[in-house]
Amino acid sequence: MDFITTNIRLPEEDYRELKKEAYHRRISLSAVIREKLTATQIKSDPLSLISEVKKIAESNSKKLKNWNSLQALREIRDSGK
Amino acid sequence: MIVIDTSIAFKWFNTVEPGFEKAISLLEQHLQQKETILVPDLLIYELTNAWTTKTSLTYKEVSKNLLLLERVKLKIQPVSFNLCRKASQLAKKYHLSVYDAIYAVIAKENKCYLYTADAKFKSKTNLAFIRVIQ
Repeated sequence: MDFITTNIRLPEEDYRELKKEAYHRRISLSAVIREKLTATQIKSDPLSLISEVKKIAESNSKKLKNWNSLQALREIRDSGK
Repeated sequence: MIVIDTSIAFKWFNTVEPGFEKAISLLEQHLQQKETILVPDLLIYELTNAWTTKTSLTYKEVSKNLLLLERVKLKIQPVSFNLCRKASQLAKKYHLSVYDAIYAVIAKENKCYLYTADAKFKSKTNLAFIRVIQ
């Protein structure tokens, strides 16, 4: 695989996290970033995206079990609230 | 292509919503590129506002929902003066809010079904292209 060298600007906090991970795993910062990019691409396939949506929906449902979303929407649309 | 109302998008993010499975199956079809889901940009404002001001979800949880929604890559129609003029006309005709009418206009213009969870919206207009999921 051919690599291209480039400069990227990262938020300081993200940079520190990535550096830390690279140090602990004894791999380069570039390798960590490449892995993260690959993982994002894999997660974007339809089945894994649906399973992520379901997972988040399950987690949200703990707080939203008595919430009436339709009523909330009607309030927003009819009363501008 | 289909248009969905915000009331359907709410279902994707809450398993206890009535019609969760039916709503998810629409999303699945979109992700598998069997059907494209078209929405006005208004949907993003409505979801964000409702989750932020009308639920106990934390900022982190709302943010997670939005990041995931972004990855789903819905086809987003931006607001335009033309769209708003048509929505105003439809809203006057059926005594709707302009927000409701925006979705109906987009579906009508694109000759596709509009899915909503709001049965009153359907009964008020009796428009043939509106489908209710509850």
